[in-house]
Amino acid sequence: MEVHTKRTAKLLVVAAAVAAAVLAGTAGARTDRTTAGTLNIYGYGPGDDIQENRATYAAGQLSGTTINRPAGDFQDQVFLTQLASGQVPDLVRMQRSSVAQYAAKGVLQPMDSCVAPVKSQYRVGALKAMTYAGHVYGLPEFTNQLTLIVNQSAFKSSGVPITAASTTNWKQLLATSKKLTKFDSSGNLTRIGFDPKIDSAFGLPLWVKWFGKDIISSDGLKAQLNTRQAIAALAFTKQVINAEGGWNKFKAFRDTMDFFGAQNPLVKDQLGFWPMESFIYNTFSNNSPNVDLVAKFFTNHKGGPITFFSGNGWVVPKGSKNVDDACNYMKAVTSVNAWEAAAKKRYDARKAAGSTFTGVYTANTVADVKTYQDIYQPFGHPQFDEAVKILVAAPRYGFELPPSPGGAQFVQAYSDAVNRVLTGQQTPKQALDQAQKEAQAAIDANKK
Amino acid sequence: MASVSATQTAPRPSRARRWISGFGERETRTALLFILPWIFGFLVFQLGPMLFSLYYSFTNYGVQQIAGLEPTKTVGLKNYRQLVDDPKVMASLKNTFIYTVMMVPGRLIVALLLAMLLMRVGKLGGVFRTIFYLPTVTPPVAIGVMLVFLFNGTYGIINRGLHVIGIQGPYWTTDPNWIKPSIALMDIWACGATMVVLLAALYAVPQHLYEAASMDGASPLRRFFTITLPMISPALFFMFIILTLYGLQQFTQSYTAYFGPGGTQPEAALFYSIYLFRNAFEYFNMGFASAMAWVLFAISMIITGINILASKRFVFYQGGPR
Repeated sequence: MEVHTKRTAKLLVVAAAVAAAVLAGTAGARTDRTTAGTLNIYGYGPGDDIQENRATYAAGQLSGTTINRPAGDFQDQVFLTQLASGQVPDLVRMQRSSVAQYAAKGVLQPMDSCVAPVKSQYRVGALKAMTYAGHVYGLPEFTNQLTLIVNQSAFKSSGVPITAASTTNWKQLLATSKKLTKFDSSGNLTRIGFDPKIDSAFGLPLWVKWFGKDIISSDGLKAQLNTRQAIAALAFTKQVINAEGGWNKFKAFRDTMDFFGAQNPLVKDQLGFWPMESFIYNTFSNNSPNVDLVAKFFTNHKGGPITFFSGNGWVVPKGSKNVDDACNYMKAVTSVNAWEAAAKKRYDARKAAGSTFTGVYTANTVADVKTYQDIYQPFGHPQFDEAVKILVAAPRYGFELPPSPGGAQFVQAYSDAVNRVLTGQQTPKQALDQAQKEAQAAIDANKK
Repeated sequence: MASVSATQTAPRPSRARRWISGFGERETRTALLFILPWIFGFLVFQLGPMLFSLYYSFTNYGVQQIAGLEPTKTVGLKNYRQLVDDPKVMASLKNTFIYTVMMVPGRLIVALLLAMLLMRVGKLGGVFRTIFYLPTVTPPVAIGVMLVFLFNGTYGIINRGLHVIGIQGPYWTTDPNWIKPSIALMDIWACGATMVVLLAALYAVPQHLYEAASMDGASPLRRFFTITLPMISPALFFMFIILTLYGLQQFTQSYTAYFGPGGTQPEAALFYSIYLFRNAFEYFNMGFASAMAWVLFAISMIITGINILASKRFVFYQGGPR
């Protein structure tokens, strides 16, 4: 009996030792996966034709380098795991809004010298989003600029002139929203006149910019969420939504819309007009090329165009084993030649398919001009051809949220505030006062 | 006689010694070998990370430490103190409790009703069991997506159904007062697993008890409360504990419905696990998130302990007290 007990005890000790060894091995698995001549990219897995053609071009510029592009877009959890395991990618593509948050933590490498020779090609607003504490951390990629998408049929059927589709005059905008909004006999919404999109991440920054103000200081270190202008912007957009049946009806109806399918809100006449990112024109032109839309600038209180940018950026994490190739790749993949090659191929493919080409909008000013001048040609769908003219001009009036170490917490603070107001839990002032405290606390906790 | 006397006076081996000597038995060793893969997985994937997170909950562990750029420093109870100061922790905890209080009894009652119905169905029982069990195998992510459509305040099938019987349904997915009930209802809908456990318990109730009660003139309601409920109380208690722990960890359905891309992120749907996830993977406050995880663990243990104490009064074990 005693022999058996000892044997079993030995067995358990061995099992525990194996488990401990695996634990220790897992915890300390910091391997040097990258070798010279290999470029491991994260956040740029196989994608659409524009992505793949640019990737092919960039790979061609790095002859002799093996390029790994695992599937999937950037995810914080995956990136954190890579950092923890020591298998740091050499080059990463992430949302520009996340760059400052990581830069403030010291995870990214300043790329000033890499970027300096090509810096002048890139849009100032987009490049600023890649800059933190005086250092440029990489290069911006796309720009998704906002414009007003106007459902011309809705205006015609409501007897409202298309000139009324403007955000310059709030009184007029409210009146137009009411005129365009439709209810059925049960009091349910069948068309939203104007969706201010205040509940989206760009909503509050855009409507505060209407006054020419910002919700955060230019250095990203001071939240400005409870200013007079921010409170007024939130109150006004809430007023618009209330005039259209209130948040509950408005949101419930909007949740039923299929923005990316053939039965989109324009085809189904569910929306009068609203600000939206530029990628939607490409979607509409594919799914419903004959839709009756007009593109217009989102305008400020003086009538001047403004637009909000968003998009990805390329960064190099600390621990990258191949910084030179990473630098060359990010420059190549966002270069004029890469964008032109990809745009030309898309143009040819769309032309062959009898579809529409609505342009490619990037953070590279020179590339955008070349694409428009050298490649773009009208396809005979006047509404999209006119939209392209607006989209090409819009980036001149663009702004992005300044990079802030508050990052996701800053955005969350004002998004929560907007929600509390829309659901009637707080007044705009109460909500933004609370958001101001939360956002500033997040910035202070995360800045270097 | 002498040998009897010796047997009576020989000291009985201590409980610990008997437990240790049990390992010498062939059956015990075989059983240990069979469960070795589980023990291994438990150590590596559960106990190990749990102990690490306990340590991290007393540190400033964040992105810099993950990346090996800065050393991990102990911060004492700072993360735990911050839990008290952060109003969102209390708000998310409140949301979680309210949801659990709605979901657990709701699921137990519906599952018991379905199980009792199935007892009476007869030949078609298998078909109905399968039908009622189907929601359980629906992925929680799909349930989260369905929630938004089914409970849409204007065009959702739930409100359309209510409209038919003359009830004006609420705006389930936008009104903060109705968001938690809608998530609880979706979870009650997926009560198949609970139903199966209770059905097995119902089958195990001896029929002669019902026959005797009937002969004594007991009404069906009386039979239910004096025979059925006490006899299935161990199964009910087991499911109560399991569902309470599940409720306290609610994440997927709410996250998919409200916190994914384009989600409205209402504070009414901010459950404790979601806020924990945000702190860990969106705000990178790993130390704070670890402290949150341990507080949830402690709360779960306390609630389970209270339930076990209460069970001595309410749960009837046929083989005697447990």
